[in-house]
Amino acid sequence: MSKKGKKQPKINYNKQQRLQGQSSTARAIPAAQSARVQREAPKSAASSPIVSLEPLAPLIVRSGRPFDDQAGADAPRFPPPSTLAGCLRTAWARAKDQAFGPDLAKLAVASPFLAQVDDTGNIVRLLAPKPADAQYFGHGAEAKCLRLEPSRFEDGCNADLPDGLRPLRLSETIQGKASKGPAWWDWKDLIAFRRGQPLSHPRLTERGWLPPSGDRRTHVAIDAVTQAAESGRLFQTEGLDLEPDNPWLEKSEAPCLRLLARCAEPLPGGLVHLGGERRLTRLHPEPETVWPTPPATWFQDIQKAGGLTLTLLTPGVFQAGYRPGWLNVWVDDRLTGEPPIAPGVRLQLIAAAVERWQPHSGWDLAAQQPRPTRKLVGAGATYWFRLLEPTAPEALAALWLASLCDLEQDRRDGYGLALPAPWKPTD
Amino acid sequence: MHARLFHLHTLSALHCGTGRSVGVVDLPIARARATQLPIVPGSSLRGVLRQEIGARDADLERTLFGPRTIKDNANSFAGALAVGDAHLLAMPVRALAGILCYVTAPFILRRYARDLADVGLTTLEIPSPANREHALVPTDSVNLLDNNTLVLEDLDLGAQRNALTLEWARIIAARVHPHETSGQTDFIQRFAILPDDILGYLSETATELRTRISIDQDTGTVKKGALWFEEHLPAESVLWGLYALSDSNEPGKPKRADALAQALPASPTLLQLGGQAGVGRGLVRLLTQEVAA
Repeated sequence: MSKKGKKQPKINYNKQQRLQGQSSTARAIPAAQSARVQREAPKSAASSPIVSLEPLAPLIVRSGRPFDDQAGADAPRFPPPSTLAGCLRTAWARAKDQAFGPDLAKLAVASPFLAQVDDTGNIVRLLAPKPADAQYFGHGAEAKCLRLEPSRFEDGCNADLPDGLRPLRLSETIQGKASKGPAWWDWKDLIAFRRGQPLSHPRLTERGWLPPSGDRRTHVAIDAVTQAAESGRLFQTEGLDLEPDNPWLEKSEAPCLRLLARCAEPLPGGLVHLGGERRLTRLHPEPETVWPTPPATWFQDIQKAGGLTLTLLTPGVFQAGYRPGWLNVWVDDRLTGEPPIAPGVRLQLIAAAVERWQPHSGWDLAAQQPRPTRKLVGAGATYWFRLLEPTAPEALAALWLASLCDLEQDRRDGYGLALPAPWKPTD
Repeated sequence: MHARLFHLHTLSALHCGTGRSVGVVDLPIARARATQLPIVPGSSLRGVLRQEIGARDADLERTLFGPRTIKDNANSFAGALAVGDAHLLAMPVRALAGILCYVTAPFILRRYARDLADVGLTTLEIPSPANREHALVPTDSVNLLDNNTLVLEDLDLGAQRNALTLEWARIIAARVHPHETSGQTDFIQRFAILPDDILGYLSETATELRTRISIDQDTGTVKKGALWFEEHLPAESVLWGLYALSDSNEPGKPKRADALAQALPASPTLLQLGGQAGVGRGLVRLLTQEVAA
């Protein structure tokens, strides 16, 4: 096999320098041990509403795009909230011997986040999707992460931005093209970014995660009678692998990633099906303290700043397209509204950073028909708001990791979970 | 659903391919993307198991694997059995003393121990070689030269006899060769725990690479262009994986997962996995935990 670029292990051929092995103590080989299993109940921690999910094989999540003659494998996709919601509701129903029915969809789930665990399985850090207002430029030592901020056009310039939105402009002028960087950040880095602190590209790369190339497998179906491949039954699947790259085991135990979710009901540990091909995922109940909590004085800071940003941590789905439907009152050519989840918080939309929409469809098992395709706002989308009235921090606290979506079912599925953060409007 | 453990023991060279060539190898074996260690994809095992079970009990096949053809939504349901990928646990490597040595590494044993614990089995501490140039062998290993050197392929490693390594060898041997003293003895005497990166290196370079040609029937000489290289996981390799059984999803035929587990074929089951069946490849023994209990 080709060994290009592969370092062979350096073996010490000097036998004098080797440690002396222990002397052999000849021992009789024991008689055959039977493989009898005293099957204990498998170890499982107590049930918990917070669970981490460890896929035992690459995750297959398709976009819902129909198959056609030209379709190869779908590119690996990070599982959308509804996939996790269905998985956890099924796990809960199986654990509780509940019937599968429409009532099961009322079980609220908030997910998916990413968590990094050490080799003992303890969560060491949480990860969040890169905010859309962070942009990468340059390569190698020149690589930078810059921020986009709402600003104004130069005199004589304008654009057809909808809803009276302000344009977003880079915080500093830079020559060069956009480049790539981690798609997921350490949670602490996201909080620091929202506090206005600059972040270095190497730090984000070291602590963040960029999904690896997909795990592509080619399948054939074998005809049971002829034992040959069935005609037209050659297909490929491509899965998302959360395991870190470690070719030929050259690294010591690298931290692994798991999905993190919160369910309205406590869930026991065990195996569940997640994604396509009925691949297995291990469910670990986690202590409730691992769920992210707001930093101290966070909501007081929002109150003092007089404005806030809302960053989507999971994809959103809004009936008005790029923005939540509750922004529906026009005041002085500006959109204002009050999120139903935080009554009394009156907000005026100033600007938005939204990436390209994502198609989302699937199969409705209850209705036994395909779901209509919907356009999702990608995770990381950021909205800037001005607080129209002085608002108590307690009222703002309701926005913490709450769903901004318009429909009740989308909120229960965990779409559009938002991270509020202080932002000082500039006039 | 609870995890259940299975082991695969290859009786002949095993070729679960990828459908794509790599470098000079025309037909490489499937490997895990992240670690590049050989695997047997769960889908390969599932298809073969389906046929094995279907030949004996069509109703059980439907319950475990779902309907073969889905005519309409009303008659579709999900099978109760989910089979995970099988991962390499120990691989036979050519040794200067003792003919061959079944090698594994702490990285692999950590994952194996985690899965053992998951199914409710007791595990041991995992010993690690002192450095990148040493290996650990059981106290009665037959693979050592001068009582302190383990020579595998073209690598020679310092070796230390170690009681914990003996215990691990016994655990694996008892699972792969239940009730078979000679098989257990052979495995225990020829077991070694290597440093992670050396195991990774051997998992790439110590698999079998067979060169094949096709003969033209008319001329008796090789056909033009019919020379190819096949990679195989060698005979006597040991793999392990997890499977899970849910209660039956078939409408009107409720069956509990434990009852389905008891209905699986008696272990060990002889199966033919992967390609090149006509030339004897892919004979494996499947050992499921439930039947060993």
